[in-house]
Amino acid sequence: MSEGGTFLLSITGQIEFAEVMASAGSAFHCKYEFCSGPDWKIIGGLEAGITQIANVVNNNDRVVFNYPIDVQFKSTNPYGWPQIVISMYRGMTLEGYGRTHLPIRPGNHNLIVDLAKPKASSLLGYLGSFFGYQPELLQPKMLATTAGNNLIRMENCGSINMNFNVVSQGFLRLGYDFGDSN
Amino acid sequence: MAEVHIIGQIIGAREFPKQEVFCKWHLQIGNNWRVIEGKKEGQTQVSSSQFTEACNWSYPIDIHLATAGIKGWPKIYVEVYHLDWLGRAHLFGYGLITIPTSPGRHILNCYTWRPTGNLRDRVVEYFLGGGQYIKYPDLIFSSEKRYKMSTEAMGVVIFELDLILRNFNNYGVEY
Repeated sequence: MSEGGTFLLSITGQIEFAEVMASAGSAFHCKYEFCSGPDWKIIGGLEAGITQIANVVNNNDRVVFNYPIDVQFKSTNPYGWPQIVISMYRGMTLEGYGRTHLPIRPGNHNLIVDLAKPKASSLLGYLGSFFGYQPELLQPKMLATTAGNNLIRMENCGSINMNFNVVSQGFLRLGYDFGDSN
Repeated sequence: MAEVHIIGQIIGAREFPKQEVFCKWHLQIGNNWRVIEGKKEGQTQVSSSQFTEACNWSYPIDIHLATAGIKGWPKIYVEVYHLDWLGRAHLFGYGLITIPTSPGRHILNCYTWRPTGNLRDRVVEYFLGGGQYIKYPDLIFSSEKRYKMSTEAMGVVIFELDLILRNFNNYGVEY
């Protein structure tokens, strides 16, 4: 919708660590993917990635990923601002999904993303959950697009901390005002 | 036309008496306003938490608006429901927030309320669940008809919104 001109958005940062119920002997890993609107394009960096497997040696250890993310976007319109969707796994079973918008204002941002995992919707699934069955979303991106969001039940479980540095180029020139960067 | 972008999330609900809550939201705008892109209403998932009282939704909001005047600045209207173990949804609260008029990041608390019934209604509610709800929801926006209602306090819905304004200066609008 913006007449002429694009702007660039550069995101550099890390998925730092997860705060979950971590018992000794468990191992965690994360997947991330970006989800952005129709006018957005990734011009550098990876759209999706997967972290290393972080093992927990002592009970309640911090699950450190320190996974670097470096991605550049191009767009003509802030609508569809990129979101990061995270799926965290404990071993092979799902531990939780999280999503957040990338920060808008330039600068350094600490983000805390709440994790949630879906609950079984059928009686069989409910019984199965006593034996370790954990339902997963076929497309975790649905959390970002909010398609079918109203049909699921989720349970909160911990959070993920991330740190992002945001640099934008050409945003103010297009007449946008994103407020003071405090 | 001046433009407004509302980008952010409904973080979640706090201090509601029960878990397993979800939220319906709806954007309320004046006649001069137009939604160019984005959903103007939605419903979150049902959220619960085993270890804390906070129910987080992390529900994204992304709306692109255009306006020819500042009258009718957007508001977000929410209805919070509780889904009980029988799969029935009961009203837990109504709430309304005005989108801030300054650009930047805002954390907004939406304090919700719900109508209270008489003693008989409360006894029925205690044993059967459910509760009072408003037949004509326009009562929630109107400041004239509110005096007929008696209400009680419910929890808080927390919003985190980033506002981007564009071209307001061209029309001599200061914010």
